[in-house]
Amino acid sequence: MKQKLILVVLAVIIGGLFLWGYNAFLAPEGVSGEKDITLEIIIERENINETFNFNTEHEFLLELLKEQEDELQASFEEHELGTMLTGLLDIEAQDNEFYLVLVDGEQAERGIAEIPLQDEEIYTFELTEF
Amino acid sequence: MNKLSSSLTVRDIALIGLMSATITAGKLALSFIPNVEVVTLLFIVYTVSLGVKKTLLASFIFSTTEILMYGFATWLLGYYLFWPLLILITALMRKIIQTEYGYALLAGIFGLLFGAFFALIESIFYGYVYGFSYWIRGLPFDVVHGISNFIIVLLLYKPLGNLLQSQFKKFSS
Repeated sequence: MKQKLILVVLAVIIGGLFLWGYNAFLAPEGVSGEKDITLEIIIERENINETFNFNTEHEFLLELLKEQEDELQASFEEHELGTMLTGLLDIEAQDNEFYLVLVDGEQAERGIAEIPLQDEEIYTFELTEF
Repeated sequence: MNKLSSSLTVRDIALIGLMSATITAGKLALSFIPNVEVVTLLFIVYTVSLGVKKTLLASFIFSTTEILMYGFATWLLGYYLFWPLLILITALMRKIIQTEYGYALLAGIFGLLFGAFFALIESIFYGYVYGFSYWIRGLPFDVVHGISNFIIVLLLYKPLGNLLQSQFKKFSS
C-alpha cells in the first residue's frame, strides 16, 4: 500500500508539472490595457443583427460579456468544461442551436473564457443550428 | 437465430445489460468532476474478469446509451472506436500484465491520449487545423484524465476485480 501511495503522490506531482507547463507555454495570453471592441449579434430567425461597441480593459471575451450581461441580455450556463453562452438579447439557444463565435470573421477555436480580446477586433455571435 | 445470439446465454444477456448499466451509472455519478471517470476502470476489470466478447457488447450498448442521452455528436462516434480499442488492448495485454500496476499504466496512457484520439475524429469532420487546436486546448483535461485514471485503477482494480470474480462465481453457479 505504501508503494501505491508513493505512486499516487508522484502521479499528482507529474500532473501538476504538466499543468504548470501548459499554463506557462501553451495557454492563451490576455492583452492588458484599453481596447476598443465590437460585438455583433446575429439571430437570423428573429431578424436581429445588432452591433455594440465597448471600451474595456478586460483581457478575455467572457469577462467582457459578464460585465455587459445586462445590456447584452446575456445568459450563461456553467458546465464541467467551463462557461457556455446560452442566450443573447434575451433569446435563448434551443436544444438544436448554439451561439457560434467568430473573431474577425474566423470561427473561434477556443471557448469564450479563453478568447483573448484584441484592440479593434470584431467578435460575432451567430445563433446557429447544429 | 444468428451465430452471435446463439452463442449468448440468457445469463450472458442479463450480465451484459448489468455491465453497461453500471458503466453508464458510474459515468453519471462522477460527471460533476471534469475528466475523472470510472468507465476506463470498469472496462478493464470487465475485460479481464468477464471476457472480451461480453465487454465489447457492453461498450456498444454504453455508447448507444450516450447518444440516446445526449443526442448525436461527432465526439460520440469516437466512443464506438475508443472503448473497443481499450478493451482489445486490455485483452491482448492480459497475458503480459499480471498486476494492477500495468493496468494503471495502461489506463493512464489511454486517459492522456483521449483528447488526441478525439481530435483525430474531429479532424475528419472539420479539418486538421481544428483537430490540432481541439487537442491543444484539451491538454489540461487530458492530463487530469490520465493521472486520475492511473490513480483510480491503481487503487481500485484489485478490490473490484476480486469482488467481481466472487460475485460472478455465485451468478454462474
